[in-house]
Amino acid sequence: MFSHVAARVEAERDRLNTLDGAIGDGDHGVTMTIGFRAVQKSIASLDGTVTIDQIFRTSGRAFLLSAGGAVGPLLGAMFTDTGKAFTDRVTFGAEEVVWMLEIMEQSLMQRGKAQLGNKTMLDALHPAVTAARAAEGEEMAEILRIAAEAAEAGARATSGMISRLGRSSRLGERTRGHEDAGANSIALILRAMQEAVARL
Amino acid sequence: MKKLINDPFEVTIQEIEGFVAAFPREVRRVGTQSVARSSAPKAGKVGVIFGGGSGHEPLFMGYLGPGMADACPVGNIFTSPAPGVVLEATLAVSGGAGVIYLYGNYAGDVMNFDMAAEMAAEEGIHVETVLITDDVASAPLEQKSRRRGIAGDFFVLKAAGACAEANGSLEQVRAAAAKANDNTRSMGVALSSCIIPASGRPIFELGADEIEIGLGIHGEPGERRQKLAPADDITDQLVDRILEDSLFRTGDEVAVLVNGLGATPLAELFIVFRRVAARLSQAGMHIHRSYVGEYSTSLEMAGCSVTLLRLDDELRRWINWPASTPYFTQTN
Repeated sequence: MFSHVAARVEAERDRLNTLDGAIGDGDHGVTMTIGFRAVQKSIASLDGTVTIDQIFRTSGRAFLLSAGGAVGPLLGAMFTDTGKAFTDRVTFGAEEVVWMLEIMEQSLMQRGKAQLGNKTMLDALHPAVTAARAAEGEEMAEILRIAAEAAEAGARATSGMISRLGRSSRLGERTRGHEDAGANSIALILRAMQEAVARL
Repeated sequence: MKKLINDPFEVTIQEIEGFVAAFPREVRRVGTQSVARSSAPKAGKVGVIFGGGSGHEPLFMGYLGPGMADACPVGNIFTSPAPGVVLEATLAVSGGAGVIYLYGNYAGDVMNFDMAAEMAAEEGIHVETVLITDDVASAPLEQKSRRRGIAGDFFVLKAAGACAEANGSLEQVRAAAAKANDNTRSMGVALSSCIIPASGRPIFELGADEIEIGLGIHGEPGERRQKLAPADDITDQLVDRILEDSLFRTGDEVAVLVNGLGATPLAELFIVFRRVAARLSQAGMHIHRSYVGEYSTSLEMAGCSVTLLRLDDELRRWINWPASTPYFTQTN
């Protein structure tokens, strides 16, 4: 699954850069690509029986240590915290998907200190969590699909927001009319997860 | 995009390798992505860590050496280094007297450097941090601590590096850096954008007759876009904003830095300085020392920034202190 996420991130690098260029410094796609290349490499080098928590922890650590920038610690912690919570979990199904989203949201809020409407990754992740919770009883693939759609809608909605955090927050009104690159990354990751699972 | 690079994703590593090969007496490579001065660590001396993203050369690693920085963690272009990189730099130059982290105030840098500081503490190394916040365009005076760090990084490093070289304690070095930061104001203007190698496109587009006032050194859009004007008019706008920021008074003594962003000829920087000097003279301020050149660039961006440091006896002493680094030398 993470392999497919990495491939999609790399494929969308230009689009993420362009979004970031409008109100940031145009390298969000690059940073995400660097982070996910490291994730791919570290997962590929895991051998023996690999557990779910190991995959998340390994990904989180690889991303944190390679990406840099603000997204390195934030996304790195989101994966690592998920891994820690999943210790001893042996299946990854519908329940785990919802749980993963909740942990990621908590992790992001704690470290990033963002609030809804600040025009950040949270504005894509929170709608995804809400939608996933409301989809209780559905199959895993369906929950992921619902979550990805909600995240995509959330990312599009960031264009109406004024940035309050991070580099773009210094630009005030100039940030309106542009979507947040980080929110788009979250949507992309969830969509990629959904696609990977749909193929299984 | 026409750049003298190889693989765009290898730019930072390759520039480090080249820099270290060019100055083997002065610096050495540390870990994966850090560079340290050859004579560090020095037992009993506060370690000065000065770092951030690459793409601003000679900032940061060009200033490794006596009187300035001890080690630089180097991030990817315009991106803060990851915690492991900051930690490897820290471990390489800890002399048992603590370490100070100096870097521009950006969310990513703060998170990554703070994580490294926690890890360093676990190794018994006491870390203090001074965030550099000299850019007047990035936040109002009431929110000064939210401002970003631009060319003023140079003056803050000069003060901290000198104090550390003079065997200051960690608290004295931190106080010197904080005082320098509190007394530094900068503002910049861009005449063109720049291109991050791995992205391949300009970060923003400026029309043939447009300039961007108050930009960030990572190519972030600035405060406002306006028409190109004569250098004196543009310089007046920068100086006005700096002088309006409630710090400078008639009779003040200052150090001045007119900094090129990478694609602006020295000839133009001198023309800008000419106007800065005239304005300061009109304001009854005295220039103690001047620095004109490329100190904190943004790849190939055209434009410049003006930085003023308000001096008192202590800051004058640190500004006067000798320094010997690959890209800055001062003998007295």
